[in-house]
Amino acid sequence: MPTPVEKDNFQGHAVAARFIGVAKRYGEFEVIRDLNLAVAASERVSLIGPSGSGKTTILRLLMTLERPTSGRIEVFGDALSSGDLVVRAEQARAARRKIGMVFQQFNLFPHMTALHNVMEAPVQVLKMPRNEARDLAQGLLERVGLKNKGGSYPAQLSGGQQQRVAIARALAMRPQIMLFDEITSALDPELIGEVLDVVHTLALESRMAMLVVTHEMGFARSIADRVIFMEGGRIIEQGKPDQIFGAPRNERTQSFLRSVRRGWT
Amino acid sequence: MTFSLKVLRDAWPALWDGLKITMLASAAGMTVAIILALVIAIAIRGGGPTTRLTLNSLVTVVRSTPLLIQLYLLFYVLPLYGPKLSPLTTGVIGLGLHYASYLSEVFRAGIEAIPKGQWEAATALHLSRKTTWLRIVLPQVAKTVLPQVGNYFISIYKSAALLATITVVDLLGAGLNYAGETFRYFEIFTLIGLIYFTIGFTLSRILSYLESRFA
Repeated sequence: MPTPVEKDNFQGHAVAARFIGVAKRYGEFEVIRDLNLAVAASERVSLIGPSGSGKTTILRLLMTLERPTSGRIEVFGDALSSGDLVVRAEQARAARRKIGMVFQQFNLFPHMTALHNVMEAPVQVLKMPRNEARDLAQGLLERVGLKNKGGSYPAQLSGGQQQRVAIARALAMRPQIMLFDEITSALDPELIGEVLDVVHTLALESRMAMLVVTHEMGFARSIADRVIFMEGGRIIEQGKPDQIFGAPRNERTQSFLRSVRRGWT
Repeated sequence: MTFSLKVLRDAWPALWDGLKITMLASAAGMTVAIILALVIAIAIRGGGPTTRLTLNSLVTVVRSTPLLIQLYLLFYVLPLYGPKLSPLTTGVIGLGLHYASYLSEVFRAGIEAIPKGQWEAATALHLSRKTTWLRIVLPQVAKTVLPQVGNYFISIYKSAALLATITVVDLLGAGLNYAGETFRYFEIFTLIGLIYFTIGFTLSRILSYLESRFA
Protein backbone atom coordinates (compact mmCIF):
# COMPACT_ATOMS: atom_id res chain seq x y z
CA MET A 1 0.00 0.00 0.00
CA PRO A 2 1.31 3.44 -0.80
CA THR A 3 2.28 5.54 2.14
CA PRO A 4 0.59 8.94 2.54
CA VAL A 5 3.68 10.70 1.23
CA GLU A 6 3.43 8.79 -2.03
CA LYS A 7 -0.29 9.38 -2.40
CA ASP A 8 0.42 13.09 -2.54
CA ASN A 9 2.59 12.52 -5.54
CA PHE A 10 0.05 10.51 -7.37
CA GLN A 11 -3.14 12.44 -7.55
CA GLY A 12 -4.59 11.64 -10.95
CA HIS A 13 -1.58 9.73 -12.25
CA ALA A 14 -1.27 6.10 -13.25
CA VAL A 15 1.27 4.15 -11.26
CA ALA A 16 4.08 2.99 -13.55
CA ALA A 17 5.97 0.91 -11.04
CA ARG A 18 5.08 -0.19 -7.56
CA PHE A 19 7.14 -1.98 -4.93
CA ILE A 20 5.02 -3.60 -2.23
CA GLY A 21 6.87 -4.70 0.89
CA VAL A 22 9.90 -5.71 -1.14
CA ALA A 23 12.99 -7.12 0.52
CA LYS A 24 16.17 -8.38 -1.08
CA ARG A 25 18.67 -10.42 0.90
CA TYR A 26 21.97 -11.99 -0.06
CA GLY A 27 22.43 -14.54 2.69
CA GLU A 28 22.47 -12.53 5.88
CA PHE A 29 22.91 -9.21 4.15
CA GLU A 30 19.73 -7.28 3.52
CA VAL A 31 20.20 -4.90 0.60
CA ILE A 32 16.59 -3.75 0.47
CA ARG A 33 14.33 -3.74 3.53
CA ASP A 34 10.57 -3.61 3.35
CA LEU A 35 10.45 -1.20 0.43
CA ASN A 36 7.17 0.46 -0.46
CA LEU A 37 7.50 2.76 -3.39
CA ALA A 38 5.34 3.88 -6.27
CA VAL A 39 6.48 5.78 -9.32
CA ALA A 40 3.88 7.56 -11.45
CA ALA A 41 3.78 7.40 -15.23
CA SER A 42 5.99 10.19 -16.58
CA GLU A 43 7.46 10.86 -13.16
CA ARG A 44 11.22 11.45 -12.84
CA VAL A 45 12.74 10.10 -9.69
CA SER A 46 16.35 10.45 -8.56
CA LEU A 47 17.76 7.95 -6.12
CA ILE A 48 20.70 9.18 -4.08
CA GLY A 49 22.59 7.83 -1.12
CA PRO A 50 25.87 6.24 -0.10
CA SER A 51 27.30 3.15 -1.85
CA GLY A 52 25.55 -0.01 -0.79
CA SER A 53 22.38 1.81 0.20
CA GLY A 54 20.31 -0.24 -2.27
CA LYS A 55 19.66 2.35 -5.00
CA THR A 56 21.02 0.25 -7.83
CA THR A 57 19.27 -2.85 -6.49
CA ILE A 58 15.93 -1.09 -6.93
CA LEU A 59 16.66 -0.64 -10.63
CA ARG A 60 17.95 -4.18 -10.99
CA LEU A 61 14.83 -5.56 -9.34
CA LEU A 62 12.65 -3.62 -11.77
CA MET A 63 14.66 -4.88 -14.73
CA THR A 64 14.29 -8.44 -13.33
CA LEU A 65 18.07 -8.78 -13.14
CA GLU A 66 17.40 -9.65 -9.50
CA ARG A 67 14.42 -11.34 -7.88
CA PRO A 68 12.98 -10.02 -4.67
CA THR A 69 13.42 -12.25 -1.63
CA SER A 70 9.96 -11.24 -0.50
CA GLY A 71 7.30 -8.77 -1.50
CA ARG A 72 5.94 -7.96 -4.91
CA ILE A 73 6.68 -5.62 -7.80
CA GLU A 74 4.09 -4.38 -10.27
CA VAL A 75 4.43 -2.53 -13.54
CA PHE A 76 1.33 -0.61 -14.63
CA GLY A 77 -0.69 -2.80 -12.30
CA ASP A 78 0.62 -6.11 -13.63
CA ALA A 79 2.80 -8.40 -11.57
CA LEU A 80 6.46 -8.28 -12.62
CA SER A 81 8.04 -10.42 -9.94
CA SER A 82 7.40 -11.62 -6.47
CA GLY A 83 9.34 -13.25 -3.70
CA ASP A 84 6.29 -15.03 -2.36
CA LEU A 85 4.02 -15.89 -5.27
CA VAL A 86 4.72 -17.40 -8.65
CA VAL A 87 4.46 -14.89 -11.47
CA ARG A 88 3.82 -16.54 -14.81
CA ALA A 89 6.71 -16.13 -17.23
CA GLU A 90 4.64 -14.58 -20.05
CA GLN A 91 3.04 -12.17 -17.65
CA ALA A 92 6.42 -11.10 -16.28
CA ARG A 93 7.79 -10.75 -19.82
CA ALA A 94 4.89 -8.55 -20.85
CA ALA A 95 5.36 -6.35 -17.78
CA ARG A 96 9.12 -6.16 -18.32
CA ARG A 97 8.68 -5.07 -21.94
CA LYS A 98 7.68 -1.64 -20.69
CA ILE A 99 11.05 -1.12 -19.03
CA GLY A 100 14.38 -0.05 -20.48
CA MET A 101 17.75 0.32 -18.81
CA VAL A 102 21.05 2.07 -19.35
CA PHE A 103 24.04 0.69 -17.47
CA GLN A 104 27.10 2.15 -15.81
CA GLN A 105 29.41 0.11 -18.06
CA PHE A 106 27.37 0.79 -21.26
CA ASN A 107 27.31 -2.96 -22.09
CA LEU A 108 27.18 -2.39 -25.82
CA PHE A 109 27.57 -5.50 -27.95
CA PRO A 110 31.20 -5.22 -29.09
CA HIS A 111 30.78 -7.33 -32.22
CA MET A 112 28.10 -5.05 -33.66
CA THR A 113 28.27 -1.53 -35.03
CA ALA A 114 26.49 1.27 -33.19
CA LEU A 115 23.64 1.06 -35.70
CA HIS A 116 23.29 -2.70 -35.29
CA ASN A 117 23.38 -2.40 -31.52
CA VAL A 118 20.33 -0.16 -31.76
CA MET A 119 18.59 -2.27 -34.42
CA GLU A 120 19.06 -5.61 -32.72
CA ALA A 121 16.14 -5.63 -30.28
CA PRO A 122 13.54 -4.14 -32.67
CA VAL A 123 14.48 -6.73 -35.30
CA GLN A 124 14.77 -9.73 -32.99
CA VAL A 125 12.07 -8.97 -30.45
CA LEU A 126 9.54 -6.77 -32.25
CA LYS A 127 10.19 -8.55 -35.60
CA MET A 128 10.48 -5.14 -37.25
CA PRO A 129 11.59 -5.30 -40.91
CA ARG A 130 15.31 -4.55 -41.19
CA ASN A 131 15.00 -1.39 -43.27
CA GLU A 132 12.42 0.02 -40.91
CA ALA A 133 14.61 -0.83 -37.92
CA ARG A 134 17.56 0.78 -39.67
CA ASP A 135 15.62 4.03 -40.10
CA LEU A 136 14.50 3.92 -36.49
CA ALA A 137 18.07 3.30 -35.29
CA GLN A 138 19.50 6.04 -37.50
CA GLY A 139 16.90 8.47 -36.18
CA LEU A 140 17.70 7.57 -32.58
CA LEU A 141 21.44 7.93 -33.16
CA GLU A 142 20.78 11.39 -34.58
CA ARG A 143 18.74 12.20 -31.53
CA VAL A 144 21.67 11.40 -29.24
CA GLY A 145 24.02 13.40 -31.45
CA LEU A 146 25.71 10.49 -33.21
CA LYS A 147 24.41 10.90 -36.72
CA ASN A 148 27.67 9.84 -38.36
CA LYS A 149 28.71 7.12 -35.96
CA GLY A 150 26.30 4.36 -36.98
CA GLY A 151 29.04 2.37 -38.70
CA SER A 152 31.48 2.54 -35.80
CA TYR A 153 32.12 -0.36 -33.47
CA PRO A 154 31.93 0.34 -29.74
CA ALA A 155 35.72 0.05 -29.38
CA GLN A 156 36.07 2.93 -31.85
CA LEU A 157 33.88 5.24 -29.77
CA SER A 158 34.64 7.30 -26.67
CA GLY A 159 32.94 6.39 -23.41
CA GLY A 160 30.50 9.26 -23.78
CA GLN A 161 29.61 8.20 -27.30
CA GLN A 162 29.20 4.58 -26.23
CA GLN A 163 26.85 5.61 -23.45
CA ARG A 164 24.81 7.68 -25.89
CA VAL A 165 24.54 4.67 -28.21
CA ALA A 166 23.37 2.66 -25.19
CA ILE A 167 20.67 5.26 -24.53
CA ALA A 168 19.54 5.10 -28.17
CA ARG A 169 19.53 1.31 -27.96
CA ALA A 170 17.28 1.34 -24.90
CA LEU A 171 14.96 3.92 -26.51
CA ALA A 172 14.52 1.72 -29.59
CA MET A 173 12.21 -0.53 -27.57
CA ARG A 174 10.02 2.46 -26.62
CA PRO A 175 10.07 1.85 -22.88
CA GLN A 176 7.55 3.56 -20.63
CA ILE A 177 9.91 3.38 -17.69
CA MET A 178 13.58 4.11 -18.23
CA LEU A 179 16.21 3.15 -15.68
CA PHE A 180 19.54 4.99 -15.59
CA ASP A 181 22.06 3.20 -13.41
CA GLU A 182 24.99 5.50 -12.62
CA ILE A 183 25.35 6.19 -16.31
CA THR A 184 28.21 8.66 -15.89
CA SER A 185 30.23 6.85 -13.22
CA ALA A 186 32.50 5.11 -15.72
CA LEU A 187 33.13 8.24 -17.78
CA ASP A 188 36.02 10.66 -17.84
CA PRO A 189 34.90 13.96 -16.32
CA GLU A 190 34.98 15.85 -19.62
CA LEU A 191 32.56 13.34 -21.20
CA ILE A 192 29.90 13.46 -18.49
CA GLY A 193 28.23 16.61 -19.80
CA GLU A 194 27.39 15.27 -23.25
CA VAL A 195 25.61 12.25 -21.73
CA LEU A 196 23.67 14.28 -19.17
CA ASP A 197 22.62 16.74 -21.88
CA VAL A 198 21.11 13.87 -23.84
CA VAL A 199 19.16 12.67 -20.81
CA HIS A 200 17.95 16.19 -20.06
CA THR A 201 16.72 16.61 -23.63
CA LEU A 202 15.05 13.24 -23.41
CA ALA A 203 13.29 14.25 -20.21
CA LEU A 204 11.94 17.34 -21.95
CA GLU A 205 10.83 15.60 -25.12
CA SER A 206 9.41 12.32 -23.84
CA ARG A 207 6.83 11.20 -21.35
CA MET A 208 8.69 8.18 -20.04
CA ALA A 209 8.93 7.65 -16.33
CA MET A 210 12.58 7.80 -15.32
CA LEU A 211 14.41 6.33 -12.37
CA VAL A 212 17.88 7.77 -12.07
CA VAL A 213 20.60 6.46 -9.77
CA THR A 214 23.46 8.90 -9.76
CA HIS A 215 26.33 10.37 -7.81
CA GLU A 216 26.06 13.63 -9.77
CA MET A 217 24.06 15.70 -7.29
CA GLY A 218 23.47 18.54 -9.73
CA PHE A 219 21.97 16.10 -12.19
CA ALA A 220 19.92 14.32 -9.52
CA ARG A 221 18.42 17.66 -8.59
CA SER A 222 17.79 19.07 -12.05
CA ILE A 223 16.33 15.95 -13.68
CA ALA A 224 13.91 14.95 -10.96
CA ASP A 225 10.35 15.64 -9.87
CA ARG A 226 11.16 13.73 -6.70
CA VAL A 227 14.39 12.85 -4.95
CA ILE A 228 14.71 9.80 -2.75
CA PHE A 229 17.53 9.50 -0.25
CA MET A 230 18.38 5.93 0.72
CA GLU A 231 20.62 4.39 3.33
CA GLY A 232 20.98 0.83 4.58
CA GLY A 233 18.36 -0.50 2.17
CA ARG A 234 15.66 1.92 3.30
CA ILE A 235 14.14 5.13 2.05
CA ILE A 236 15.20 7.67 4.64
CA GLU A 237 13.69 10.77 3.13
CA GLN A 238 12.00 11.81 -0.08
CA GLY A 239 10.60 15.00 -1.45
CA LYS A 240 10.87 17.71 -4.07
CA PRO A 241 14.44 18.32 -5.24
CA ASP A 242 14.54 21.81 -3.77
CA GLN A 243 13.40 20.52 -0.42
CA ILE A 244 15.83 17.57 -0.26
CA PHE A 245 18.81 19.57 -1.44
CA GLY A 246 17.82 22.91 0.06
CA ALA A 247 16.26 21.95 3.38
CA PRO A 248 16.69 18.24 4.15
CA ARG A 249 14.76 17.31 7.28
CA ASN A 250 16.41 14.06 8.18
CA GLU A 251 19.75 14.31 9.88
CA ARG A 252 21.24 11.46 7.84
CA THR A 253 20.24 13.16 4.60
CA GLN A 254 21.89 16.30 5.90
CA SER A 255 25.12 14.53 6.77
CA PHE A 256 25.19 12.68 3.42
CA LEU A 257 24.74 15.91 1.46
CA ARG A 258 27.36 17.63 3.61
CA SER A 259 29.91 14.88 2.93
CA VAL A 260 29.14 14.91 -0.79
CA ARG A 261 29.61 18.67 -0.96
CA ARG A 262 32.81 18.49 1.05
CA GLY A 263 34.10 15.97 -1.44
CA TRP A 264 33.45 18.38 -4.25
CA THR A 265 35.32 21.42 -3.00
CA MET B 1 65.29 -52.21 -52.43
CA THR B 2 65.54 -48.88 -54.22
CA PHE B 3 63.01 -46.06 -54.07
CA SER B 4 60.72 -46.43 -57.08
CA LEU B 5 58.66 -43.56 -58.42
CA LYS B 6 56.57 -46.00 -60.42
CA VAL B 7 55.15 -47.36 -57.17
CA LEU B 8 53.93 -43.92 -56.29
CA ARG B 9 52.17 -43.56 -59.63
CA ASP B 10 50.50 -46.94 -59.21
CA ALA B 11 49.45 -46.31 -55.64
CA TRP B 12 48.20 -42.76 -56.19
CA PRO B 13 44.56 -43.48 -57.21
CA ALA B 14 43.98 -45.57 -54.09
CA LEU B 15 45.72 -43.04 -51.87
CA TRP B 16 43.71 -40.20 -53.39
CA ASP B 17 40.48 -42.02 -52.55
CA GLY B 18 41.80 -42.59 -49.05
CA LEU B 19 42.72 -38.95 -48.69
CA LYS B 20 39.16 -37.95 -49.53
CA ILE B 21 37.93 -40.24 -46.74
CA THR B 22 40.46 -38.71 -44.33
CA MET B 23 39.27 -35.19 -45.13
CA LEU B 24 35.63 -36.24 -44.93
CA ALA B 25 36.19 -37.92 -41.56
CA SER B 26 38.07 -34.88 -40.23
CA ALA B 27 35.40 -32.41 -41.34
CA ALA B 28 32.53 -34.58 -40.14
CA GLY B 29 34.31 -35.38 -36.87
CA MET B 30 34.95 -31.69 -36.30
CA THR B 31 31.32 -30.83 -37.00
CA VAL B 32 30.08 -33.46 -34.58
CA ALA B 33 32.64 -32.33 -32.00
CA ILE B 34 31.66 -28.66 -32.24
CA ILE B 35 27.93 -29.31 -32.04
CA LEU B 36 28.29 -31.76 -29.16
CA ALA B 37 30.72 -29.49 -27.33
CA LEU B 38 28.36 -26.55 -27.65
CA VAL B 39 25.46 -28.57 -26.32
CA ILE B 40 27.60 -29.77 -23.41
CA ALA B 41 28.96 -26.31 -22.60
CA ILE B 42 25.53 -24.68 -22.72
CA ALA B 43 23.90 -27.50 -20.73
CA ILE B 44 26.63 -27.33 -18.07
CA ARG B 45 26.05 -23.59 -17.75
CA GLY B 46 22.28 -23.68 -17.74
CA GLY B 47 21.58 -27.09 -16.20
CA GLY B 48 20.99 -28.16 -12.64
CA PRO B 49 23.52 -29.92 -10.39
CA THR B 50 22.65 -33.39 -11.76
CA THR B 51 23.12 -32.38 -15.38
CA ARG B 52 26.36 -30.67 -14.51
CA LEU B 53 27.73 -33.64 -12.58
CA THR B 54 26.76 -36.10 -15.31
CA LEU B 55 28.27 -34.07 -18.13
CA ASN B 56 31.42 -33.19 -16.21
CA SER B 57 31.95 -36.87 -15.39
CA LEU B 58 31.43 -37.86 -19.01
CA VAL B 59 33.91 -35.24 -20.16
CA THR B 60 36.46 -36.39 -17.59
CA VAL B 61 36.15 -40.03 -18.58
CA VAL B 62 36.47 -39.31 -22.28
CA ARG B 63 39.43 -37.01 -21.76
CA SER B 64 41.23 -39.52 -19.56
CA THR B 65 41.10 -42.46 -21.97
CA PRO B 66 42.87 -42.97 -25.30
CA LEU B 67 40.97 -42.32 -28.49
CA LEU B 68 42.08 -45.70 -29.79
CA ILE B 69 40.34 -47.50 -26.93
CA GLN B 70 37.19 -45.46 -27.50
CA LEU B 71 37.22 -46.35 -31.19
CA TYR B 72 37.62 -50.06 -30.37
CA LEU B 73 34.76 -49.90 -27.88
CA LEU B 74 32.51 -48.17 -30.40
CA PHE B 75 33.49 -50.49 -33.23
CA TYR B 76 33.72 -53.89 -31.57
CA VAL B 77 31.56 -53.62 -28.46
CA LEU B 78 28.75 -51.17 -29.24
CA PRO B 79 27.31 -53.29 -32.12
CA LEU B 80 26.81 -56.16 -29.66
CA TYR B 81 24.30 -54.04 -27.75
CA GLY B 82 23.25 -51.33 -30.15
CA PRO B 83 23.08 -50.35 -33.79
CA LYS B 84 25.60 -51.64 -36.25
CA LEU B 85 27.11 -48.66 -37.99
CA SER B 86 29.59 -48.43 -40.84
CA PRO B 87 33.26 -48.12 -39.88
CA LEU B 88 33.38 -44.53 -41.16
CA THR B 89 30.27 -43.47 -39.21
CA THR B 90 31.64 -45.15 -36.10
CA GLY B 91 34.95 -43.36 -36.60
CA VAL B 92 33.29 -39.96 -37.06
CA ILE B 93 31.26 -40.47 -33.88
CA GLY B 94 34.41 -41.54 -32.03
CA LEU B 95 36.37 -38.51 -33.20
CA GLY B 96 33.44 -36.22 -32.48
CA LEU B 97 32.89 -37.57 -29.00
CA HIS B 98 36.57 -37.52 -28.10
CA TYR B 99 37.23 -33.98 -29.28
CA ALA B 100 33.91 -32.68 -27.96
CA SER B 101 35.27 -33.39 -24.48
CA TYR B 102 38.18 -31.03 -25.14
CA LEU B 103 36.21 -28.44 -27.08
CA SER B 104 33.48 -28.25 -24.46
CA GLU B 105 36.10 -26.99 -22.01
CA VAL B 106 37.29 -24.44 -24.56
CA PHE B 107 33.74 -23.25 -25.12
CA ARG B 108 32.97 -23.22 -21.42
CA ALA B 109 35.94 -20.94 -20.79
CA GLY B 110 34.92 -18.78 -23.75
CA ILE B 111 31.37 -18.46 -22.45
CA GLU B 112 32.57 -17.61 -18.96
CA ALA B 113 34.76 -14.87 -20.39
CA ILE B 114 31.70 -13.00 -21.68
CA PRO B 115 31.10 -10.17 -19.20
CA LYS B 116 27.95 -10.38 -17.10
CA GLY B 117 26.93 -7.01 -18.51
CA GLN B 118 26.36 -8.56 -21.92
CA TRP B 119 23.75 -10.93 -20.49
CA GLU B 120 22.15 -8.10 -18.55
CA ALA B 121 22.01 -5.85 -21.60
CA ALA B 122 20.33 -8.69 -23.50
CA THR B 123 17.77 -9.04 -20.70
CA ALA B 124 17.19 -5.29 -20.63
CA LEU B 125 16.50 -5.37 -24.38
CA HIS B 126 14.07 -8.27 -23.88
CA LEU B 127 16.00 -10.63 -26.13
CA SER B 128 14.91 -14.23 -25.67
CA ARG B 129 17.36 -16.78 -24.26
CA LYS B 130 17.84 -18.30 -27.67
CA THR B 131 18.47 -14.95 -29.34
CA THR B 132 20.89 -14.03 -26.56
CA TRP B 133 22.91 -17.18 -27.14
CA LEU B 134 22.83 -17.05 -30.93
CA ARG B 135 23.24 -13.32 -31.54
CA ILE B 136 25.08 -11.98 -28.51
CA VAL B 137 27.05 -14.68 -26.69
CA LEU B 138 28.15 -17.25 -29.26
CA PRO B 139 29.47 -14.77 -31.86
CA GLN B 140 31.71 -13.29 -29.18
CA VAL B 141 32.73 -16.74 -27.96
CA ALA B 142 33.53 -17.80 -31.53
CA LYS B 143 36.02 -14.99 -31.87
CA THR B 144 37.91 -15.83 -28.70
CA VAL B 145 37.98 -19.61 -29.19
CA LEU B 146 38.84 -19.57 -32.90
CA PRO B 147 42.60 -20.24 -32.42
CA GLN B 148 42.03 -23.19 -30.10
CA VAL B 149 39.27 -24.65 -32.23
CA GLY B 150 41.58 -24.42 -35.23
CA ASN B 151 44.33 -26.27 -33.38
CA TYR B 152 41.90 -29.00 -32.44
CA PHE B 153 40.88 -29.31 -36.07
CA ILE B 154 44.48 -30.07 -36.96
CA SER B 155 44.56 -32.61 -34.12
CA ILE B 156 41.41 -34.26 -35.43
CA TYR B 157 42.86 -34.39 -38.92
CA LYS B 158 45.93 -36.19 -37.60
CA SER B 159 43.98 -38.44 -35.23
CA ALA B 160 41.73 -39.47 -38.11
CA ALA B 161 44.57 -41.81 -39.12
CA LEU B 162 43.48 -44.00 -36.21
CA LEU B 163 40.33 -44.82 -38.14
CA ALA B 164 42.48 -47.15 -40.24
CA THR B 165 42.56 -49.42 -37.18
CA ILE B 166 38.81 -49.92 -37.37
CA THR B 167 38.98 -50.88 -41.07
CA VAL B 168 38.24 -47.43 -42.53
CA VAL B 169 40.11 -47.12 -45.81
CA ASP B 170 41.34 -43.60 -45.29
CA LEU B 171 44.72 -42.29 -46.45
CA LEU B 172 46.56 -44.48 -43.98
CA GLY B 173 44.22 -47.42 -44.57
CA ALA B 174 44.71 -47.22 -48.34
CA GLY B 175 48.45 -47.01 -47.85
CA LEU B 176 48.50 -50.02 -45.53
CA ASN B 177 46.48 -52.05 -48.03
CA TYR B 178 48.77 -51.17 -50.90
CA ALA B 179 51.96 -51.66 -48.95
CA GLY B 180 50.69 -54.94 -47.53
CA GLU B 181 50.31 -56.35 -51.00
CA THR B 182 53.51 -54.97 -52.52
CA PHE B 183 55.82 -54.54 -49.49
CA ARG B 184 56.66 -51.07 -50.80
CA TYR B 185 56.49 -49.52 -47.32
CA PHE B 186 59.36 -47.11 -48.00
CA GLU B 187 57.70 -45.41 -50.96
CA ILE B 188 54.17 -45.55 -49.63
CA PHE B 189 54.89 -44.20 -46.16
CA THR B 190 57.19 -41.51 -47.50
CA LEU B 191 54.40 -40.35 -49.74
CA ILE B 192 51.72 -40.61 -47.05
CA GLY B 193 53.92 -38.68 -44.65
CA LEU B 194 54.43 -35.98 -47.25
CA ILE B 195 50.71 -35.73 -47.93
CA TYR B 196 49.88 -35.50 -44.22
CA PHE B 197 52.54 -32.83 -43.81
CA THR B 198 51.47 -30.77 -46.82
CA ILE B 199 47.84 -30.64 -45.74
CA GLY B 200 48.64 -30.18 -42.07
CA PHE B 201 51.04 -27.36 -42.84
CA THR B 202 48.54 -25.68 -45.16
CA LEU B 203 45.83 -25.91 -42.51
CA SER B 204 48.04 -24.32 -39.89
CA ARG B 205 48.93 -21.48 -42.29
CA ILE B 206 45.27 -20.87 -43.06
CA LEU B 207 44.61 -20.87 -39.33
CA SER B 208 47.27 -18.26 -38.57
CA TYR B 209 45.86 -16.13 -41.36
CA LEU B 210 42.35 -16.39 -39.94
CA GLU B 211 43.63 -15.55 -36.48
CA SER B 212 45.43 -12.43 -37.67
CA ARG B 213 42.34 -11.49 -39.62
CA PHE B 214 39.70 -11.91 -36.90
CA ALA B 215 41.39 -11.91 -33.52
